[in-house]
Amino acid sequence: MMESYREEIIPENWYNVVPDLPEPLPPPKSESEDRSSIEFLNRILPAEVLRQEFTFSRYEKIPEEVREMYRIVGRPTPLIRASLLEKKLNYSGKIYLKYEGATVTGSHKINTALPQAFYASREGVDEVVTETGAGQWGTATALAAAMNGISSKVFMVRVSYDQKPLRKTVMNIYGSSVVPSPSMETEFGRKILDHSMDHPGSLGIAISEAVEYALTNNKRYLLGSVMNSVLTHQSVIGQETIRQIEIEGIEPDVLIGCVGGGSNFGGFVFPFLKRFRNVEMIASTASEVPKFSKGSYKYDFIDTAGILPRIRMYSLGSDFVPSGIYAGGLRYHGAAPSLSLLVKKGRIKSEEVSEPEVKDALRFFAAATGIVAAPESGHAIATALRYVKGNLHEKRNIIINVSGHGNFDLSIFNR
Amino acid sequence: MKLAVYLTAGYPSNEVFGAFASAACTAGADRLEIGLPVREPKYDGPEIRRTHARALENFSMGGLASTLKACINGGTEATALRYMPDPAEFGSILGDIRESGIRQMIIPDLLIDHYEERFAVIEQMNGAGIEWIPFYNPATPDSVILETIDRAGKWVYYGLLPSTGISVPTSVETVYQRAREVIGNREIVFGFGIRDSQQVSLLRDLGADGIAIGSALVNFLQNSDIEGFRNYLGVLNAIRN
Repeated sequence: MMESYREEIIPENWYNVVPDLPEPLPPPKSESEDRSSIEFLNRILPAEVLRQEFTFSRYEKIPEEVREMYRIVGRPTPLIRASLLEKKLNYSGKIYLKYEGATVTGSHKINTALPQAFYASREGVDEVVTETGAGQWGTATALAAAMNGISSKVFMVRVSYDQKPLRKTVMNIYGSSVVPSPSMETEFGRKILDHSMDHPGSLGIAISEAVEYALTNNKRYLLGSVMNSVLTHQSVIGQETIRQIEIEGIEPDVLIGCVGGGSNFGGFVFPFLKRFRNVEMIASTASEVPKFSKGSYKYDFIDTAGILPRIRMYSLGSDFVPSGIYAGGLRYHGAAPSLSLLVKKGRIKSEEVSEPEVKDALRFFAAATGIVAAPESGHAIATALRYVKGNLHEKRNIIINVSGHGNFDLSIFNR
Repeated sequence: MKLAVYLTAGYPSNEVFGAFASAACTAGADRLEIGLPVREPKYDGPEIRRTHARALENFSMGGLASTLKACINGGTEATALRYMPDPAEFGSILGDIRESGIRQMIIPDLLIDHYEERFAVIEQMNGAGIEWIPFYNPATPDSVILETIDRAGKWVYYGLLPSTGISVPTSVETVYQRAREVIGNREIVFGFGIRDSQQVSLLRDLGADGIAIGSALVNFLQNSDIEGFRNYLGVLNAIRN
């Protein structure tokens, strides 16, 4: 009974927002007269991922095998009414949490790792490779590869590698080989280490290393965020939430999530755009990585090495190296093109939160919900707390996407 | 199914370009798409980018009218393709296009990079006696097509891929069906990334009104291989008719 109820909530299709955007999505760009960096993606991405990236089909059928894996890893994730939090805040409305931390890898990242690894294995690839910042994406890739019977390799940003040894252990348990980035395994990594042996690394550098490794070893690279196909896979979050609020019998008023590359946020809010035209959407980012307020909306490289095409997005520059902030998943220099477009058009608002406020919010939230959320998700929570405090007497239904748990990030509380 | 042949004006030289334009018309092209060279052909792939760089060295609008005259008189329609010029130049470029005998124009970056000005630009084109031929692609939202389609000239250009001359996996059927659903019965010419006869047959079977070929022809121009060019168009004619 329980299982069939769960399966009804897992959607049958992914939703791609591009056909429903208010303006055309600017295409990726490749300026070379010798080769196209768009065509070059054929050599590093699973073909089916690339097909989804460029077909822009509003609905893309989720393979039954992937739906089954979604169920095994904990989908649908719960929608939790945080009534004690409401009471603690004296809020007149309702607060709900879409808790992506309830998946077995502890974050939303598994939602796209599973289909990408599935397609790679079906195309005969024996190893997938990727980068990871906070470790959530690497963990998801490691498990997704294992569940699909192939190997995986993860370039982990050095500062996270050093700060989060347990993340590495989990990835190793799933069978993944994890190396700190910059590493000696790629030309790009060696070049950086030549200049600076103790370089802390960045997501842009780790992406460049993973792409180079995929290319030189004929493996396939898995995309953790930013690209449209990833946001499409993540649409399971928002679609499930819509079914769950239908069951709950409520209308959504405010959706809040955090933004690194934009995939959990896009996956959460995009399915609401057409049907709930007035719903307020707030993207929360780190003040230390102020992409929406200090970045510019321009064509920029996805990776630091400039191997991948340029895409139009809010960006702080592909060579941006943030200070070693507490929320590794928010360190990326840009944000997904579709999300960037909607922020630029004013449909999605953005807010910035800094470390002290995030830590306070995480503590306050944990005591009322039991969830020790990931520091990335802490931004969404802090933004939600601000919102509630400014609208105490409103009866709005707020839904927060809690993108992951923070069980591997506890050291931030000792800083 | 119609055939639109894309050539960058002045590539590789004004003479060779003129000879190929005439050859395309006598070989049965229904439309000539004339790319006016620019420094930054933003959404073009490597082959077409090279043609722009080279053509910029040779090309002037002055000779275009005589080059196109026989083609246009013979019933081939000519369409100019030009990335959005500076507003200061736009009026004179429209005037030059009209002088050349061309009555239709595609601005591939209009809806992408100049979205806010779209209606003013179309009005200016129409005011100069030039029809607006929209450039849509799978990343064009349905609402954008619906609000602009009434201003379109007699046909619509639909790019299958994000750039010309590249090969990336895409579902032609899915893209076709969505385009047809939103655009309706208007004439749709599909381009960007069409290279092999299989794609041409597929588009024909799906019901496409036309195909546009460009990057696949660049080598013939580069080598002044007019026979090879004619043969290639002959193969396309055999499939499309």
